[in-house]
Amino acid sequence: MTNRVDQLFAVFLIFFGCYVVWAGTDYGYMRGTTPGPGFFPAIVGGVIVVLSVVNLVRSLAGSERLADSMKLIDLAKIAGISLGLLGVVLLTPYLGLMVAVALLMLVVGFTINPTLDKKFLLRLLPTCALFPVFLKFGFGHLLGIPVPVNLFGF
Amino acid sequence: MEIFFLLFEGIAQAAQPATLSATLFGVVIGLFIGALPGLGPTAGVAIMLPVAIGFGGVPALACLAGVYYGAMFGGAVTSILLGIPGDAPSVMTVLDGHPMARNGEAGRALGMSVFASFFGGMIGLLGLVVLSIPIAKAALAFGPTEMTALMCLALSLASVLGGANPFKSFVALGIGFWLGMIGIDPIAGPIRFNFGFIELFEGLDFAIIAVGLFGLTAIYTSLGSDVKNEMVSFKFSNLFPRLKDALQSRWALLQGAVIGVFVGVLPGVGATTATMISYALAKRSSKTPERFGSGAIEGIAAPESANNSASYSSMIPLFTLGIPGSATTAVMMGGLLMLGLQPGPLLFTNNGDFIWTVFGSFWIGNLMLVFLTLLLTPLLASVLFISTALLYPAVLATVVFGVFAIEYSMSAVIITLLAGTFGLILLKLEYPPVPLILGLIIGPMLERNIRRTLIQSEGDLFVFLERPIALSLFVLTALVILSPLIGRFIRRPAAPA
Repeated sequence: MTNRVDQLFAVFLIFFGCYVVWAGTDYGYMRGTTPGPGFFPAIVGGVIVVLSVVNLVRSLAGSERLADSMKLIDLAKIAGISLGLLGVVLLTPYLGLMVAVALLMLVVGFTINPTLDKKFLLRLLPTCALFPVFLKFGFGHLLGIPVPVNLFGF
Repeated sequence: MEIFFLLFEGIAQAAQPATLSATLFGVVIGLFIGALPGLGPTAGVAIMLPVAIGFGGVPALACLAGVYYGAMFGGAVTSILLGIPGDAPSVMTVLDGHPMARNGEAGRALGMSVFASFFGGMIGLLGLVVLSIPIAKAALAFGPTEMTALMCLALSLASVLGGANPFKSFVALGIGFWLGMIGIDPIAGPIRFNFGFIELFEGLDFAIIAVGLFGLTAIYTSLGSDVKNEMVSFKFSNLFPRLKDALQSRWALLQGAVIGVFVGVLPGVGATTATMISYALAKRSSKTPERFGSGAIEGIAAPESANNSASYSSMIPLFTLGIPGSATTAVMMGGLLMLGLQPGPLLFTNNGDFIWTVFGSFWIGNLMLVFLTLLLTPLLASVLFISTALLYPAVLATVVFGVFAIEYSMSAVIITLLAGTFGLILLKLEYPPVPLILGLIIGPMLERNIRRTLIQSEGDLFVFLERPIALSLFVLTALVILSPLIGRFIRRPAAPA
């Protein structure tokens, strides 16, 4: 499975390299006798294409065997954390960064350990409530960062 | 003698409250990060980068360096008490440290680890101070052509710093180059690869990518392992190093420290290799090598001395030549650039006060770590028993506040998320992330130098080969790139006649 993904990724990089070369020539490879803004992208894109072809051939020829793919449960946890981070971006304008991060912490905590065990909740909930306050104080007051706030000012 | 005078002045400056508290903050965080399996010094420095930059100037760098060498100290605690190395350079410490702990000598092993780390750190710092000035002075003779050649050499390290497949390392380097091209072209003006996003006009911030690529990826990859172990007990009074042990391990300590200095300077080799070499040498030179692996005190002294010595000497190429020789120093280089400082020989001329105060803070940090490690050992060991379901929410919350603080924009969180996801894909497909970071940092500088040189020479490429230093560096670069192929050719068995 991982080897197939590796091959697909190499193909993606070949197309990506072609795009970088194309964009490079579009920006202008040379301006008279001197290199233009597209000079470097064209070279880098070309190198990516050539090396990705080598990687694809190596993978197809079986010269490289990758380790097994990740477990489904771990992928689900990663997806949960990523969605949590995305949620912070979407909710911060309405809830403020402190509250949005507190919710993120809850999501991450339950994603990693999906249980309603009383002992776990007694540790997680206070952490989620107090840690963002500590961060808001550190970043907002000590470092002077303008931390986004909600309508109520926190 | 002058360098020692400058160093003492630097130590006095570093003793100012702002730098002192930043160093303390960095080493404490580093100690805990070092103790946690999965989050090594690179992830720690990357996660702390946005926070530390907020301190500004010397305190920022003192804090980042504190995280780096603090993690080196912290890694040994869990290696000895639990048999779990917090990071790669602590692996060798497990071999003798954990058997000693199981034999009821945990305090003695920890005491030696702290003393060896301190001793190695001091020798590494001495190497950093003594070697930096001559190297920087020699590098002052470098013009733009030589600097271009030097950057090519630095980038060729992608083949050393990368994984087993050099082709993938160079693809990762190319992706890093491309990321570095996003935004306004500094010479001709057009905006490149911004896909219509205003946020990308000024390019990608290095720290945001580093936090995603190293910090977030480290969290993602360690999600599957929630450690449940039994800790070996110890007495606080036994933690203090014994004179008898120090005398018994004197050669192992010295060997480890010296190996650490020289191996640490070599780009791409790093502290882990230094620990392996010093352990092997200590075992070979011992009259009773059979004790190694079952609880020899020298088996702790040698690798701990080497890894701390190497962590300081690995900063020599960073400060003097602007070449990051490891993933952690690459992230630290990003920190220097964010502070508006260009690492390289001119740093010593233009920002002498800064650099000596930073070196001074390293001395203070090393001394601080001795007391802090002894005091915090019980706490450090217990960190491993905190569930990731409680720890990672706090780490991610810090990441969100930290990356927001860089650009005052939530788009930084999205870029971190993308970098973390991309980092995970790269890691699973065995594309090493370090060359990508090298490309992102050095790529824009290299492009500017190449284009400026070619503009001056009106497109004549031979200008790069006219100066002997540049030519030598290009030859060295070619050798580094081709070394895996040459090695493979040499190792290939002769065909039967």
